[in-house]
Amino acid sequence: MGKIILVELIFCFEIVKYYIVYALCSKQKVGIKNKKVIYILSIMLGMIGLVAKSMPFDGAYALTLFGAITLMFLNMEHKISNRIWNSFIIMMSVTALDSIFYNIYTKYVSKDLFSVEFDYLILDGFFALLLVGAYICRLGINNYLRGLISRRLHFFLKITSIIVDACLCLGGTHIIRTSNGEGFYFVFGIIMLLSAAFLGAQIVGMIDLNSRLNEGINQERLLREIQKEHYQSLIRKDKEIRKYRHDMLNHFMVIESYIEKGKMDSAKDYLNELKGAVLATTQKKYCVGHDVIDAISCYYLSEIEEFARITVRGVVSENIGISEMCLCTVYSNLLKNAVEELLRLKEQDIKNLDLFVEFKMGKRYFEIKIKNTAHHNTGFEGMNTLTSKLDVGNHGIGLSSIMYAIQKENGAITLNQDGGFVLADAVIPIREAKTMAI
Amino acid sequence: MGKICIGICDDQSEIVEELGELVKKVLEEIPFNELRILKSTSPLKILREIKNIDILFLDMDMPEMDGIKAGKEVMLENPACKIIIATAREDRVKEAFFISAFRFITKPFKYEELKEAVITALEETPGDNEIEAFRERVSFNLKERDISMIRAYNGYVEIMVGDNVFRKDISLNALEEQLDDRIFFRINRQYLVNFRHISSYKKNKVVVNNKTFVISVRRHKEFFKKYMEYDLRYS
Repeated sequence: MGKIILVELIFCFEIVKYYIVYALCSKQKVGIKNKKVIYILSIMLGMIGLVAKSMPFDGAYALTLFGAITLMFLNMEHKISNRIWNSFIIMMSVTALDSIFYNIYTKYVSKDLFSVEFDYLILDGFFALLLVGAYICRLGINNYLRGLISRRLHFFLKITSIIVDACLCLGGTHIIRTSNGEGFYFVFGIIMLLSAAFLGAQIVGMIDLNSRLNEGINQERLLREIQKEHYQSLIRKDKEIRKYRHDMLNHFMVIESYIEKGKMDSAKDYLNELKGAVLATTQKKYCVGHDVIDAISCYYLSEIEEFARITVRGVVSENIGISEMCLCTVYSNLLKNAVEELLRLKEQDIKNLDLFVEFKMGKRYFEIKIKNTAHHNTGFEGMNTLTSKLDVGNHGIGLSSIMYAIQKENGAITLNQDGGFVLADAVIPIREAKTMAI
Repeated sequence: MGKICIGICDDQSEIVEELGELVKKVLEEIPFNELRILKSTSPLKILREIKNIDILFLDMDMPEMDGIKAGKEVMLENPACKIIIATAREDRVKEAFFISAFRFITKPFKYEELKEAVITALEETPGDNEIEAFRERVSFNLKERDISMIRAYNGYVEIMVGDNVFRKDISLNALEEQLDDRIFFRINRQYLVNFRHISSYKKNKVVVNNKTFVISVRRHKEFFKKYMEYDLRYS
């Protein structure tokens, strides 16, 4: 009876371990996603209890492992192939950690203190408790700390990946040397070295992919924000127009009375005042015909309208044949750089600030040209120019994002400095006619 | 510059006059042999003269005929006419695209904006020049824009215009110097192609008249630059 209870407890601890490891890895909450799991769990508890009586402990333990992994597998919400991969990887990870705890336990705790079954129980219980603690901590951490830990965690994960790679290299080398070039261990060593190489390549690819994904997400967020601001400004403008339409009748009556009384000068003055009021209060809207471009123009140019001469020129089709993401990345970053430069010059009380934006659309290519007043940058190196902003960690990625977006579309971009101006010229092939690659 | 005819069409006569004065002021700086400015508040009257008009300032909201509809008629009757939409209706910018509007200028008109639009519109369209070539000993004057490609032979060239082949006793190098380099490009030692007739361009190959030609490696960058310029400015 004691053995049955022991095995059942170990089974419960194994279930806890696998569930929590999966929850921590997948950033989900622990829970029963599939109610059938409860029935299967009950059946398994019964079966393990029956089997534990007649089987040796090792066999019963293996069964508990199998049962725990199966329950975790059934509780996942992925398609079958992903479940298999996840289960296998989690099993390897948990087994590795179990092995660490076991080796430390047997090295530093007296070997014959407890029976083997109790040793397993203690180790499983300890591991399960640790995981429960980690899960509770993760739930309890607030958003600020989560962000802080997340950044550190990414750094930690990168370092860990490098350490794992290094260990594979060292382990493989050691095994090959000790095998004297013969037998299974020699082949195993070679496989470890190949795995190290492959893992290294994967790590690099994943780091790059991760940063591109983050950049894409940030751009997407920016685009949504810009579009939201643009639509809100359209709504505001619509309200203003309604108001003016309503007030117009009164204004007409005033002008009419001036004219009837022959007071033409008064009528002219009134009209001029009215015209001034309309122009002053109506928010300027930059319109080339493409919603994303218009939204970005209105969003950034409103900051410099009051002190800079702005020209936005061009007619752009709504169905431009270029992805919104690419347009947003290229245009918003170029425009943002230009606007920030003008703001910097404004702070230095420099007058006569100009910004010129032109869009040209051909049958196969689309061009964005932005020319702005700029201070002379002795460190100017075209698209390789480093950021002049002090917090380098958060800036300087604009140009690289533009380069990446442009190269992905097989376009071209030049950045030149000449006579107190910076000229950015980006050309992107249009998708329907995209048959070229440089 | 030779002769030029500019049309101005707006349902409000005051706007027509204002625009007319501004255009005259812009064109004072450019010498013309013959300059005509046709002003009208009626789009139908302008359409009757459209074949002679090089640049047309067109309003969008006109009671007699909507500006976009008038623009479509202009495209049919005189595709070479450049349409500049002059309107207060910013919300109709997108529609201007359907008539391949050259520019979109808003009221109240700004002199600099108008000047830029007119001067850019006046830039000569490439391909109007003619060259002499022969077919079956008969001389023909071929417009550059109609030539699809030119092939070099020993001491003479073959000029392809559609399905027709003409001959000229001149080296390709010499002919290349005569032709407008805004629309022609030497892709390799043997061929000169017209950007206007390129149906597709992939990596280092172009397709002209359903035939594929290879661009030589050292000319590829220059080709891309010139082709892009042509596409953005003249297509």
